[in-house]
Amino acid sequence: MVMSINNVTKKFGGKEVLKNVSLTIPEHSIFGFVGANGAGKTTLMKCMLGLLPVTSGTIIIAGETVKFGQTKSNAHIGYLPDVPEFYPYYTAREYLELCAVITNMQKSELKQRIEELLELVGLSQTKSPIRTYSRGMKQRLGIAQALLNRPKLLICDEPTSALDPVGRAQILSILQAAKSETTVFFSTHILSDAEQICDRVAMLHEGTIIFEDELAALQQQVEHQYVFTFTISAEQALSQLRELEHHMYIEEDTLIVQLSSESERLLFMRELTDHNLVIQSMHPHTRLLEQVVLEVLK
Amino acid sequence: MSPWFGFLKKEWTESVKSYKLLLTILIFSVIGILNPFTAKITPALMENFMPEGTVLNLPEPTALDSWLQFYKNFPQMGLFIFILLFSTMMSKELEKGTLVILLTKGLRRSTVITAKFAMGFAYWTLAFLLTFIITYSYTAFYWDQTIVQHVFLAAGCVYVFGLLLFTITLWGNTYFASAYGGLLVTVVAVITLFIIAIFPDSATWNPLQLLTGPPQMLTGDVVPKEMLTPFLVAMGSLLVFLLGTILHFNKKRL
Repeated sequence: MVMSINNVTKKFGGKEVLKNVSLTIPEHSIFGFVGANGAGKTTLMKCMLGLLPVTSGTIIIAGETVKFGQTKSNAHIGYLPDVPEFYPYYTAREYLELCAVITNMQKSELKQRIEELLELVGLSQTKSPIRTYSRGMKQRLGIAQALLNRPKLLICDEPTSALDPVGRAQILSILQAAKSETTVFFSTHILSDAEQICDRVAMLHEGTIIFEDELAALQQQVEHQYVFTFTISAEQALSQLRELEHHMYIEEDTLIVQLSSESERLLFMRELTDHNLVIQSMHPHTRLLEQVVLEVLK
Repeated sequence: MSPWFGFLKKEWTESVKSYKLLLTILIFSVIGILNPFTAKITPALMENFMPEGTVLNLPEPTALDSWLQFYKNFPQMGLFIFILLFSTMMSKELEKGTLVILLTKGLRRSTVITAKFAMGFAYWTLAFLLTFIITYSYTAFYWDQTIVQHVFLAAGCVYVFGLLLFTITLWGNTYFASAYGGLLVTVVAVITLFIIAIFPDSATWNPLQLLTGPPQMLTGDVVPKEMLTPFLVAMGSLLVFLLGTILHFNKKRL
């Protein structure tokens, strides 16, 4: 376990923002932390970093208990804030050099590591100062600085939220690449981002964790069901196929059919050709994370 | 390079890139030149402005006039500009959130405060030396300086007072995390010292003596010994404010 959060409660005045939150993060995984804006994600992250005191409970990172204020646990962490702020007069390389000095990195290692990271985030050719950077470039520099000292835990607060689709894809692929050397804990309210790269997902809602599991388990395939769309509407198709014995129903203008074996599937295809039905698409019936979330929230 | 020097280097780069070095050199050189210059030309000016035929018996300016200009310009205009220039050292970082990344990398919080204090200390020393050396050189060139007493000691008092005021500004700036917060605290501190000075007895210990005493030291009306207690009180307060800033920042919510 690289991190464990035990019964953490955080109050701002009388308002309870985190209610008895417990969470453990296994090593070398990408942990998606989803929740709506204002659910308490950033608050929990700031508690993990010792930037805010917890009201009760403990957080342990890499064997070190997090203390509010000056905390040793930060030496194991790389952190990317939701809107990273840098010194505008530095170039990316100069900024990373400052970060390297602060983390007591050996001089012999420093140059090579910085080159490596600039290459990873695609900023090695940029010579201009940070003040000229776009949002996406700042976010990428943010990841580079967070990975600099090979942290055991990389914490990213909404790394993709403010970016265009290209920027988002870049960040997600960098996070995926980072998994080989560290554990990634990132928050997002964009479920499809979590779906793309996460191994595990936890959801925070109104200050409590409402589910936490492996992504695959959460969106497990609804067994032996397949989703069909046709060139005609699903209802028309269903009326034509009514006499068949398969279990069939309509969901959002798609036809969902229970086909338990390969022979049954083959048979069903044959029926479709007999009825002159042209298939537009066919895929196994899985639940999207969004549906999981909606079901839980009901 | 240790993290402390790394952060100090960042402070230095920042001050150069934001023209603080250039401004400090320019402004305090000008003040340095202005002191003997004003003393020198005042009689000439007066004669020019007077209606013709008026007989003025102005005494020839002396080294004392030049130094009195120093004590008018440097602690007022000079110190005021210096405090303005360096009053946002913490608030700028706290408002923008630039420290968050460095602190979550394991940078010690006390490093931030002590490095910033050291940088302000260095700049105030530079500002003081510039004005002092220029005033001293010109005054020595034009006049006989043997008539003024305790030139170095008197100037040193003002220097120490400036350092105390800078530390108070740093504390206010960190505590309120806004530019005006720091300035407000400084203004309140100065007003308080002036109110205390209303009571004549306080002159034996009030740090404000470091500001008002030096001109009288030059003429020998105040002896250096009288400055010892105000100096000790100033240094003590400086340490208290510096320590207070460090302790407060160690537990600051970011």
